Amino acid sequence: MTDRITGMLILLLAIAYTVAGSRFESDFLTDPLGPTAFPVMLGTALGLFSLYLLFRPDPEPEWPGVRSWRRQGMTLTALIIYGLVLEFVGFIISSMVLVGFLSQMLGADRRFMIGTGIGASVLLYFLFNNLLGLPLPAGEIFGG
Amino acid sequence: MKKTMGSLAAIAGVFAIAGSAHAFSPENVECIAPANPGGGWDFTCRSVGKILYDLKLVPEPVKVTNMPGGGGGVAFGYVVGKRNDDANLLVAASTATTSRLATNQFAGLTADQVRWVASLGADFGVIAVSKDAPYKNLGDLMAAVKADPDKIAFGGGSAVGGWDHLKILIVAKAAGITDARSVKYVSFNSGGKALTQLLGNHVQAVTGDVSEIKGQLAAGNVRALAVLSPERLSTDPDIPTAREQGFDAIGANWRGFYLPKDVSDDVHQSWGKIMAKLYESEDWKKAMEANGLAPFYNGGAQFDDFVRQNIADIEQLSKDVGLLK
Amino acid sequence: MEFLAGFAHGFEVALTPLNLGLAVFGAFAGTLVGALPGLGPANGVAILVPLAFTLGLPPESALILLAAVYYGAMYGGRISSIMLNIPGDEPAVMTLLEGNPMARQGKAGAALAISAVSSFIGATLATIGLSFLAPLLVKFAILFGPAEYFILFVLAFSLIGTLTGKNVAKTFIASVLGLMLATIGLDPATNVPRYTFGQMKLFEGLDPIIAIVGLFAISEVLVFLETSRAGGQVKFKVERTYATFKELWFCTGAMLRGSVIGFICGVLPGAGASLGSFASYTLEKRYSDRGTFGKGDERGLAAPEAGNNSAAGGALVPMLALGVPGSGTTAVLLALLISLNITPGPLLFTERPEVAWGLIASLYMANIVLLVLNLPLVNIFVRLLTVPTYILMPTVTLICFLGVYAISHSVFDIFMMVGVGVFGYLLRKVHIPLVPVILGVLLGHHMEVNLRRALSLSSGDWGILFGSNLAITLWVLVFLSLTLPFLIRAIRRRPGGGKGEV
Repeated sequence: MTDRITGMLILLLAIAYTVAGSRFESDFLTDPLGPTAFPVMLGTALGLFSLYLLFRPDPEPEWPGVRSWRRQGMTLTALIIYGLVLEFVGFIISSMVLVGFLSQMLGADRRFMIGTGIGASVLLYFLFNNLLGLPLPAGEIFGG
Repeated sequence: MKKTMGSLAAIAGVFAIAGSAHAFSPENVECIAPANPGGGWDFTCRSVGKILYDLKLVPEPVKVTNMPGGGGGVAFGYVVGKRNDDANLLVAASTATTSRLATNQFAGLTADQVRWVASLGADFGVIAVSKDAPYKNLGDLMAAVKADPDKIAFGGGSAVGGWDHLKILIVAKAAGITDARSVKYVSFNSGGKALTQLLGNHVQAVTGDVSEIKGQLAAGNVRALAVLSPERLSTDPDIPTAREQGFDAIGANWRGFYLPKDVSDDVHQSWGKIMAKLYESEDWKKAMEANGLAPFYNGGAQFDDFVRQNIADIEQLSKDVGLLK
Repeated sequence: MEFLAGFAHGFEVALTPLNLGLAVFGAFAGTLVGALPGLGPANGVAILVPLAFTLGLPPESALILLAAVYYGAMYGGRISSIMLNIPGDEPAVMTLLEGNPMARQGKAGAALAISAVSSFIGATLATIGLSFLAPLLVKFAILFGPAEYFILFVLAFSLIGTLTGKNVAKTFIASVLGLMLATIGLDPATNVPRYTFGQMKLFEGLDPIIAIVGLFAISEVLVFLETSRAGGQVKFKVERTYATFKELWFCTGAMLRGSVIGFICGVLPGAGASLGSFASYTLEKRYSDRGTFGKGDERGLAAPEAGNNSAAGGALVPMLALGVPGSGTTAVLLALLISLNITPGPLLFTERPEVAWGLIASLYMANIVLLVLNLPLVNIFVRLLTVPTYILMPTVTLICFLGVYAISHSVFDIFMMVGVGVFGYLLRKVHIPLVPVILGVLLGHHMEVNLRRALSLSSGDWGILFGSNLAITLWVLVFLSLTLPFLIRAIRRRPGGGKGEV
């Protein structure tokens, strides 16, 4: 069943891609193929291959249960929040929280969670910012 | 050359008088190269940065940050949006920057959203063919293009509509060809690649910068038909200019910097002074020579005008040949 | 044989205590940087260039330092591939195919050692090739026009079939997906934005590093989270930190074959180390696989390792002789040379041979240093595997983000990485292989661009694709590559023929 759904999704993607691809136009100078040729070709190929998935699906893969969806969902949210606040609160704080959070997700107890969080973020900050000369955000709220 | 020295002295004089009480001295200078390591902007930041430090014009080594994307647009947007008042930030720029501003490839950003500091040298455009090509001079080549545009392919490093393409269009316009479609330009990722294609005879001519073809020229594998400078270059006096062959075409890829907009006039002038000092130094002269850059100093208010004119010219050219609507 | 003199002089310079010290430091620093996913040799060299300047080193010493960093970073990338299943840079993608399974079987030390030795062999052969054959190679390289490059990449793609797991269709889907990802960005020939959704950051396309780190690293995290928390510790047992002589001997053929293929790929400007490692792996698999590849066959590790170091050496040919960088890292080396007022080009060997040979000698020495440092380095890195996963994985994830952000300063890249990661996770769940996707991303752009350039040059005449002897030869190779597996299988099945494999 999974493969059939996948096949369906990929087919839709292929169609969307091909339609969008065929609409590119260059007002001016263009080469004999133009910006549309490759996308259309690729989209068509993808569509054809996806039919294979639809009609000859592989046996079902193992999908993990709801608990793991939750863990994964929370992790992804954490990563996105990280991206959003990184420049605002600075590298050290955001990383501390992220690493601590991930650590806990993976089964660390309290002290490891805090320890890894602080350790990793501070160490990496100094490694990148000071040693390697690659500036990392100090956090806008700190005036960085 | 004498004229340049004269105006240079005048500029230096003005700066000396106006800026003698300057309070600004740079520290922890950062130079943004709006491209990946290895390109022209990266080179500008690194070589100028090194000399600034060697000459003690800045207290610490200059930190070079690469910020590729959008052909310089991402860095431009970044400076305008996030570093608008940073007095210790230089961004490498060149004609590639202005030509993109002229053709609005920076998503609506404009030249007056930053402050232009100075240009420190120019790489003049050059049209070259392989050593066995039947064209003896620019006239021959252009005649061949007019006779059968499809047969002559010009290779260049910039994308279609980019600076290398514009250079040949400038020459074509001077030769009386006004439709860009009559000039076959094929873009390769870099000037070096285009040159390699010339050597393999896959393209018939190359539009590039003097610095790019130096090596091959000296080895005798290519012939430069024309250089797009007002006078013959002191570093390569054997290359005739386009002008002296009857084609009024100048194509200079200047290399310089811009600053964020909201820095004080004092900061702007101080940087101008620093750049002027760097320009006069032996270190820079050596660097220029080693890299085929011709002397081309422009700074201060004069430079601002120059940039605007540069952009206007390119915009006009693009419209004339149909590149821009 | 004046090059011998040049070489000797180069080594003389390279062996002073200062330069040796720099080489060791560079190798170590480079390895560290390269081992961080997201940072590769190009960044490593670019980061340490200012250091070279601040120290006020003379050109030869600066070159030695940076050569050591370059190769160190390449080696570092392998570490990440083998131990973490995250490619450290583009050419390292092939390494994880056999390297990681080996690590999971407790052979991480052996894998790293084989990697080091193969890399060394690859570099040696490349240096020899470079010294003897540079002028010939240049003549060969310039024969490649856009049409020939296009066919070359088609050839590369025809080899992707070799990577097939069980489901051929899924492998093809993966490749096509990768090719589609490669079309994102401003169209190179016409500047028309394709699939960019108005984002200027996407104008230059999907950054391969983001694709790699996202697809492999983030998806790995998600996969990991599937299993229950405490029970999900992966205990990497480490049996030993070196490779036995027998293992090394077993790989000799693979190393040599990989070196030759990699070198040829490296010499062609624009083909590069990724193509080198890819071609080496797939051809080795074609040649040697009897069902062991994909599960930790040492030869599948040795071949691409030799291949990409050899390609890195080969890339020096166009860089030094033509001034054209063959890859991202040679571009940085080129920039460094220029800022030292040295202009590579055909006259470099005649006018400033001490620089050319000095560079070649430094690069080679960097390889030697790395080989020697291999044992202690392997020890250190392999200890990392014994760190509990709940410390290791979050830290690695953070480093991935860092590696990407530190270079581009763009939070958008972080989001993209997460997005690509989710995509990669889903692909993994439905058994669509990730490696062909990356290959599509890396090679797709070149394929399209060269086809269009070729047609531009010929004004639409498709005949240009068959227009030269080289082109026709390449097409023959494509044909062989597609049909040979079937032919070989048929021959083996014939009664009395083959080695009894039915």
